[in-house]
Amino acid sequence: MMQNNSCREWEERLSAYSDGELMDSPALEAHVEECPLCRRRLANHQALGERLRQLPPPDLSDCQNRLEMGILQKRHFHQGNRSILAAASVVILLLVGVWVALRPASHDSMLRDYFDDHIGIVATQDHKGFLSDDPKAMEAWLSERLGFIPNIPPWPWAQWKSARLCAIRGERVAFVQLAMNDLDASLFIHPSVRHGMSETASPQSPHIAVERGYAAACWQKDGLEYVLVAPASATNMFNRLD
Amino acid sequence: MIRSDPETLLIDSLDALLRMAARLTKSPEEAEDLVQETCARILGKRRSFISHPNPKGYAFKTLFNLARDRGRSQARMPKIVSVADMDSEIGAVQPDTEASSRFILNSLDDEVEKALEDLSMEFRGALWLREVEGFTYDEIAQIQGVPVGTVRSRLARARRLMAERLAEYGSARGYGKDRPSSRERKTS
Ligand SMILES: [Zn+2]
Repeated sequence: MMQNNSCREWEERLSAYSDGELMDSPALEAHVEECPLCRRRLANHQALGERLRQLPPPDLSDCQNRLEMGILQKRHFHQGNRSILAAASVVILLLVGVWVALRPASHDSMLRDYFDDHIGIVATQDHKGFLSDDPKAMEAWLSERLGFIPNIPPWPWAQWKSARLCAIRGERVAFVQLAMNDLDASLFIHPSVRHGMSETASPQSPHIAVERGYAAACWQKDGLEYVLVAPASATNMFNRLD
Repeated sequence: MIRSDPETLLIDSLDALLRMAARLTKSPEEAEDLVQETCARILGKRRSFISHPNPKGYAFKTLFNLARDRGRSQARMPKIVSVADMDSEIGAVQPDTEASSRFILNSLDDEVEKALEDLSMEFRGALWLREVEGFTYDEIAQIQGVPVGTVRSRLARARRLMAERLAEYGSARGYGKDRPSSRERKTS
């Protein structure tokens, strides 16, 4: 039972032993007692663990803050904690610079679907569907599949990214991704006869809702209903609609 | 037992997930991206996450699955460092598993990171989960989706490879084989 020249057959057990995961440790202990090589390896394991734990952590605090923000934005209102909600609404009021009618999500559950879709896409950066920066081409692609023409507003400030279909309450809706000042936004368009917002709103004075750090502007025009969702900090978002 | 909400649970594990992700990817941006996707995936299955007996392990498992999928599509090339490439008087030194723990303890951070990077993702992951995050073999097996026996052999081999690599680096840098007198023989 002396060691051979490399003691490979003890290697795995030795490693498990240093992790406290070896069942039949007396046999190993007896071997280590008389084998300098294995003793040395055991010391190596401990030294290695020490060195790994001592490695300077990469500077990821910015990443961590951004990720935490992202996670907190996903917290649902009904589960959310009131103080976060209150703090968020103050920030939003300051940033948006308009009086926001803050309504609990449960009163406008349909809007939550829009928020969910927007957040889902932005969080996963899952840009699928029809990739284009031309709103007219997107319109053509969408109308072929939807049976209505979603008139995409001719916003000169928008960087158009992609168009896809989504379903809100079982109805097919045009879902257009765009960026405004590098902030991701989503524009949903569908015929207004079906859902009918509780109040009619025009592009000049849209109906505004805020949830989980995102703001939505809703309005109607020429028989279509529009919902634009963007981070609530998108300053002047609502001044840009026309 | 009172359990906090999924967001809080996830935020509690965020720094550990980021540390792990930084070891599985090549840049901080990639690490952040990987953790972001992990979080989105987990919060898309809030119920499974919150009811899991080991939510932290669940989060790491999600991270590993995504990292593996990405690795498949990007086919990360294993980096092979040749001893001959190193400017050294290595000559007679035969670095082996006999490497003294002094080599390891005196290794430079860069060397440890480089040796770690040269391990395959599975080996690196197992070693990190064990030594830094303190997961048990059972937990690592679940995270990596392999039997416990595989974890055991991954760890043993990862340790041997690390020790060999660090001994190579150490002797290339001019550390003596095992003699305390040569320990201070730094070149710069
Ligand atoms: Zn031995």
